[in-house]
Amino acid sequence: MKVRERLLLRYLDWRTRRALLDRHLRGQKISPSGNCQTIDRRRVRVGAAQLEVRLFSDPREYIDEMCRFTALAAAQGVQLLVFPEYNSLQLLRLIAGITALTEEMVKGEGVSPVKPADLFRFAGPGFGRVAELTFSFLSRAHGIYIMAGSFPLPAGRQVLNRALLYGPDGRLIGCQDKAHLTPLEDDWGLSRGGSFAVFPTPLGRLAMPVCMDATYFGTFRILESLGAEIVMVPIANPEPYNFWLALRGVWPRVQESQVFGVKSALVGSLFGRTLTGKAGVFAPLELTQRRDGVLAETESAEREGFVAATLDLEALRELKANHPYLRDENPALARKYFPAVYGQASR
Amino acid sequence: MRVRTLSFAGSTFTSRQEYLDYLDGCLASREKCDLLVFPALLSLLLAWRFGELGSPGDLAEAVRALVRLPAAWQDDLAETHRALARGLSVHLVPGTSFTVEGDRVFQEACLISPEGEILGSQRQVFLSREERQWELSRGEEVPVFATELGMLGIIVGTDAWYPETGRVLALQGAEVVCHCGALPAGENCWCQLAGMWAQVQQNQFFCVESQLAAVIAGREFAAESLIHAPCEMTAGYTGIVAGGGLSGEPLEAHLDREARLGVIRQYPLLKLLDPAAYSPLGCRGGGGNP
Repeated sequence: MKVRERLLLRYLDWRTRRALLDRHLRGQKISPSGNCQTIDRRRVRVGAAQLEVRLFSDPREYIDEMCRFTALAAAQGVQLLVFPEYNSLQLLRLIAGITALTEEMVKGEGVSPVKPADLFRFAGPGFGRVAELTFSFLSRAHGIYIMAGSFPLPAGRQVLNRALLYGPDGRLIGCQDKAHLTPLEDDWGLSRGGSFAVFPTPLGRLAMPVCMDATYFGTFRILESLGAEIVMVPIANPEPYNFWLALRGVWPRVQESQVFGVKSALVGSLFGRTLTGKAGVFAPLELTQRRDGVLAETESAEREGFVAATLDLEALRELKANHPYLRDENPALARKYFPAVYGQASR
Repeated sequence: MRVRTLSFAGSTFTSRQEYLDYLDGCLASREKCDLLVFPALLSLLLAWRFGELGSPGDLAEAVRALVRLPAAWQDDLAETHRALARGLSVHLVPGTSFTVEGDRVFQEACLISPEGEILGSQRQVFLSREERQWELSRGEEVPVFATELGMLGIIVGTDAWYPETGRVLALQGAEVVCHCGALPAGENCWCQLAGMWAQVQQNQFFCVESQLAAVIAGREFAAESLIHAPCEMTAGYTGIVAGGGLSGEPLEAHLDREARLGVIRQYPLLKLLDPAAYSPLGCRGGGGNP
């Protein structure tokens, strides 16, 4: 590592030092919500944040922003709150010279072009510390489950897009690495995860594939077969909003695999890219009043927002047990085709 | 490639000759098309309209009566459709029929070439609760057919809601998928989007979805037929090239193969799969309980 990089890293470490963050978090006036004291599978209250990306020059501003959304959710009785993909991009301004660096990356200029994965490898530990302390504190302080969103984090030589789930006691319940990367992320040098996990909690069986993972039915099929009831999907889509394009992700996966879906979106402009999307809560058609598969969705795809909805996990179980045309199995078909066709795809 | 569907809405034929006259009236004077797709349960509709099934009390009885008809009846119907394909010089998927093999009954659709040859068939591979009560059996093959139109596949009935079917077809190279459907009358818009629309968007093939609009043994079927394409090549990104058919008029559209390939080059969804993560899918297939 060059001297300049070492200095930058030390500076970033200092800007995100634990003592500073702890002190700021302890200064928050939060009363436990009690939202998770009684859990009724017929009334599980979930919320999804739609964050407008803002670059903060101080990690304490980031903490304040997350506090604001969590307080809003807790006040509405939310027991499980979901944050969006890349929920640490707001901290990029902590890196000195980031604007010039990103311009260089976007234009592909510079003598030694830096890939975003290099940037995340460098900044990941500091950003990760901010996220970990913030969401562990907020989940414990409010006494609710928080899926903190996903974060580009270094793991050995790789950089993974990793979603984190915290329990009402503030402990990390588990993490999920994004398995399907977009071409852009591939260019960035990110690595893909290789498996999907379900986290059993008193609230229900939770899962959290990341953004593009919801483009593929296999993700939800596997999660549902592992018992997932609520699948949270953090997104950050760098394209103009279109209803139909947005419909291709979580909504059809919820219908195919009969789970609840909670989508949280990062929106706004960042380094010349515009992120759009609508936070929403989705259910099988039969479990929604208008039979359109949507329990709640934000109005705007460009500005911040928040939605909450109540899920009936027992109604989901009953629907799955009695669905008129879904839930059949054909193991012979799977054995015959899947290894060959997916093997072909991997080549 | 010009494709067309027919829903049989408003049809009143009660004999084989009237059926042929109806098809002639609907299709003969139109611009030639390359692919023609009829809806699911067509053989059941025809047998019922022709008075071959007696007086079934409900759909289940109608299906049982159809299965009991002599094989010659199905053979005659197949010959009728082969002649239709020859006469129109079109690739034809003539809806679904129920075929008996030993003690098993399958719902299946075949593909007929413009020369009248049967190129192959597709059996329904996942069954609805009602179809299980009818004691139908599941097929175990999902073939694709190499034709001059490209690689074609077929999805039968409620297989539309099982994404395994479309994925297996797509990974074998299917470019156009023909879907024979029969949905009960009612609000089917979201249900159809969760079916073939979703399959098209996650596999980037075309789909010609032909939905039945008719009454059989007291059960009314009615849903729009739809011609689907990847969102990026349709107006407003809807993913729907054409929709309709409930008026009785054929639904048709032109499919641009080059434009589809352009979409795939831009956004190669199937190249971004992560097969290493799919091992739990290996032996189940479908959405049942583990």
